[in-house]
Amino acid sequence: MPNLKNPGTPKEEPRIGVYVCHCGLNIAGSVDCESVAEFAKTLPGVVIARDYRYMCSDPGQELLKQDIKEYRLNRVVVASCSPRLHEPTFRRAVMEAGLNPYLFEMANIREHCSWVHLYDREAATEKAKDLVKMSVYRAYHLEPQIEIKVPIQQTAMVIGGGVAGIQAALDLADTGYHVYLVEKEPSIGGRMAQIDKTFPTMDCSICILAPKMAEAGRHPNITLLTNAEVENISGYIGNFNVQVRKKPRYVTADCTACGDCSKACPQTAPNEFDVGLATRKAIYIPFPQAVPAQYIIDPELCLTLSKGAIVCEECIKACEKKAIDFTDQEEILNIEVGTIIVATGMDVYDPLKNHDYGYGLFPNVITSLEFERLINAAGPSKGHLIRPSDRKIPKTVAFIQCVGSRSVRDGNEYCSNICCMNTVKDALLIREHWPDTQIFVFYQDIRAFGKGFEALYRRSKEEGVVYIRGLPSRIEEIGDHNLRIYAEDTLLGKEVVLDAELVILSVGLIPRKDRDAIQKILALSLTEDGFFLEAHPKLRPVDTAVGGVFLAGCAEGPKDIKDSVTQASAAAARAGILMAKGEVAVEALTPQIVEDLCKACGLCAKVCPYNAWMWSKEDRKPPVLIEASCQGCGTCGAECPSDAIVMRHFPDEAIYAEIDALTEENPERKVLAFCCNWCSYAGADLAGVSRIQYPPEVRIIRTMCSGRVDMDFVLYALSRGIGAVLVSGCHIGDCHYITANHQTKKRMERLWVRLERMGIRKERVQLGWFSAAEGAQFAAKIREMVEILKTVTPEEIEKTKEILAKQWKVPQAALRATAFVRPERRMDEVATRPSAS
Amino acid sequence: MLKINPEFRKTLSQALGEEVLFLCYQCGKCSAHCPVFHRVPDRFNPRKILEMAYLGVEQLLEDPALWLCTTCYECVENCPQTVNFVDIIVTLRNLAMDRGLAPKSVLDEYQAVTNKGFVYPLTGRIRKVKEELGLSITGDGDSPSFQQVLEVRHG
Repeated sequence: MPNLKNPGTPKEEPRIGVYVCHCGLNIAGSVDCESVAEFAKTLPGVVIARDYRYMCSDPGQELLKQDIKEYRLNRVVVASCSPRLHEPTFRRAVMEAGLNPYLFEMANIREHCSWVHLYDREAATEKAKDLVKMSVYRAYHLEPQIEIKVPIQQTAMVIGGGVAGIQAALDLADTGYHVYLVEKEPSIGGRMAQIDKTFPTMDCSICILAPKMAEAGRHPNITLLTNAEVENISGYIGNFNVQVRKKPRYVTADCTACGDCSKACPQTAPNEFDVGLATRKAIYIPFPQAVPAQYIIDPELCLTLSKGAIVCEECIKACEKKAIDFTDQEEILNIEVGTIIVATGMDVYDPLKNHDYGYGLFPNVITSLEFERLINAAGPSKGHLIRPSDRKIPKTVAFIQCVGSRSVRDGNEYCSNICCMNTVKDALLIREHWPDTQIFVFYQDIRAFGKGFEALYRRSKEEGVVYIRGLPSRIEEIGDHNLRIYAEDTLLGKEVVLDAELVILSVGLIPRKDRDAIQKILALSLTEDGFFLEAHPKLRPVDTAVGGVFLAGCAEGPKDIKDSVTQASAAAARAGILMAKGEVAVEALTPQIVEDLCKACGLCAKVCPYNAWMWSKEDRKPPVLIEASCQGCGTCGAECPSDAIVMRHFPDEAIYAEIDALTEENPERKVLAFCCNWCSYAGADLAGVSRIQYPPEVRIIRTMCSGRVDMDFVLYALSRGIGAVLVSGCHIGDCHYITANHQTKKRMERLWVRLERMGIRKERVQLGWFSAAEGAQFAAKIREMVEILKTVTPEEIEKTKEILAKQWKVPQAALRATAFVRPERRMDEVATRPSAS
Repeated sequence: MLKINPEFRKTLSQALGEEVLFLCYQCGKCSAHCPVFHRVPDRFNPRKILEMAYLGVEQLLEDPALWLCTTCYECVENCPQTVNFVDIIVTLRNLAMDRGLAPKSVLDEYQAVTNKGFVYPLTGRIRKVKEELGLSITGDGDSPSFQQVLEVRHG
């Protein structure tokens, strides 16, 4: 049990074991692990220190367990990789040896040290020693914690009804869980429903999708919510409350989809499903196989609904089933679910932005998606590929690859993954329809990497499709709306000219334009490309950093149908595992309150993003925590003016102890960086994984949220002579704890004013926002911090110390933290903290 | 045969920045846009110059192609990968000059500029106008300020 009586006061004599992992050569290549272990032996409280090749291996863990028993260790520090990777592994190991898992601490000497200082063994070794020392000092202040278990609701929500969403919903429904499948459009089906054939098998897209759509529509375990959008989500893993806005359809479930209404309707508009190439009525069904097979009225187009008065009732007259209901109202549904799968898909690149190829100017320049509708039997031309200008069969067709992909200029640097094979398939489709058509493909690389892809590519060549290596410079319209294409054949090194009757731009896939809504609601991170970021690129590819939320399909990155379906099944399995367990342990990171210190000011309640502190102005009593609502960001702990809040596992003492450790030697040559667990710490990890080198002066202290960083932490570091301090977190709007980083920002602004007033240069304290995908940006900021560090003179440091000694009082918790290494303080200076409630 | 010289590659990487070198996908848009390439495709191809720079082919500095670019920026405007070919060609020309590898015509011009301050000899009309305006007609090739400009160019 946590030591509630006197949190932070010295307890039993610490018996700390330190294990320095070589990680093969990943750490040992740049860090002298033996000397780090030797150094650890000299640290207070350390009973045993070893270095070992692979601590995460079975023998490594065994070694740890044996030592815990043999040396009666009560704290364990492993210096190896990021706690984001192996903390669970080692926590389990120490638990198996009978130690509370919260008495385990990790020093990140791989991602934050050896990998980012590959060529400076001496500095990396010194830094590793510092990091180990910080962990040892911190470990002393750790206390055993009991994790609370929260129940997991046995229902799931899938957001997005494309092929990925449908597959995920079906898998979960078949497993036995109830699923809410939310789709923004009037029908499920997504992009796949728009496509004519699929590669590499050339089978009909809707023929293989429609049965799945129908199954999803009638599955007893699936509630289909079409024409509906997720408005808001509150709660946490296992217990989400989702608000869904279900827009009115104006047509009831009695609709038999006979289509009589549509024939009668006088209003016409471009049909979105056919990418505007055909028209629809105000009352319409997006496509024949739509699920639900139910018509819908476009309220902006309908004469009656747009005018707000009955001016036209042709559809009502035509409908025998009396299924039309102009009084249909929007509904807000509140749905409780345990897990969420985000399968919101993608958009296609809009080549209007790219003027090179005359899209929008020349009628016979079309996109690959428009082509799909033109070659589709249910499309506007009944499947006869004709060109838009004169509806004639094109005799020469040219494809242009990488339109909106692999281009720094267009802002999409990534490869869109599907366009090469899509073009190969499209070329074959044209040959199938019109065998006389000559087809040319302008490309820079053909990427036929998947199963059966190369064979299809080869087949297209056998069929006479010609591939020209080189992207055209420009297209001119010549007579009869024909098109003249200029390019360099880069294999010949000569300019080539081709006259074509139809040009198809192979457009790339881009993140959905409405992605931000879901991203903000769920506080998901994004990759640099703008797709949703997975928890781990290899080992947790469908998880997100948010517990209970999973990814499927193109929302995570461009991919083909097969990969989307595979990923959807994986996401369903991951969500299913959680729900099958029925409960999940939540990390014990919530705060406790020391009532004797609390002045009942209510600031904690005010800054809490979750309203987890119950406090009323009238009562003037210490607030009470709603454990289930609290997510453990620690913002209250940082704000509390009387230091009456003790954050479990991240108490003030532990953080002061870390600061103490890193400022013991040469603090003036160091940068202290506070990093939040979810974004900036992960960004720093990514810098390591990507081997982005930055100067070794920085020492990182991890907090769950930047909101945890107390102003006093920064001042304490300055009073100890640190050169510069960086406080970092998620970008504003992306905070894992909704709005906690807004408090960080406000607090930093207050701190800068305070520093200026005291005469301390505020440039020495910086604030930075880094997403988990911004390793390079993090490294760049560290370089900048080190530049700032170079401008700080020893005199300035001394002056800062003097100023703070006069104008700022060292918090009690800091004194308690240092008592560990400076026992003399224990007696004279440290007041024992009053009991916690 | 073209010889790949790792040392020369390092020199270029330092002079241009590695990013400039690896960005290119050899898509051919620059050459397809290039007016010089359209006239003399066998003698000048920006894509190929970039490939040789990327590989570190030192013979590139002796290639008269370096001096055919008009620095019109068509390629820079249209490069999907935002490669600044004009910066590259200028750097390569400077390297060629430094090593005395530029064609004789270029070296002669350089001599003319450094000696006289004029690229072309003065015509009678220009000389007259200059005299009317009271400007020097001997050129500023040996003036200290002109030499200073040249030094700055050499970094």
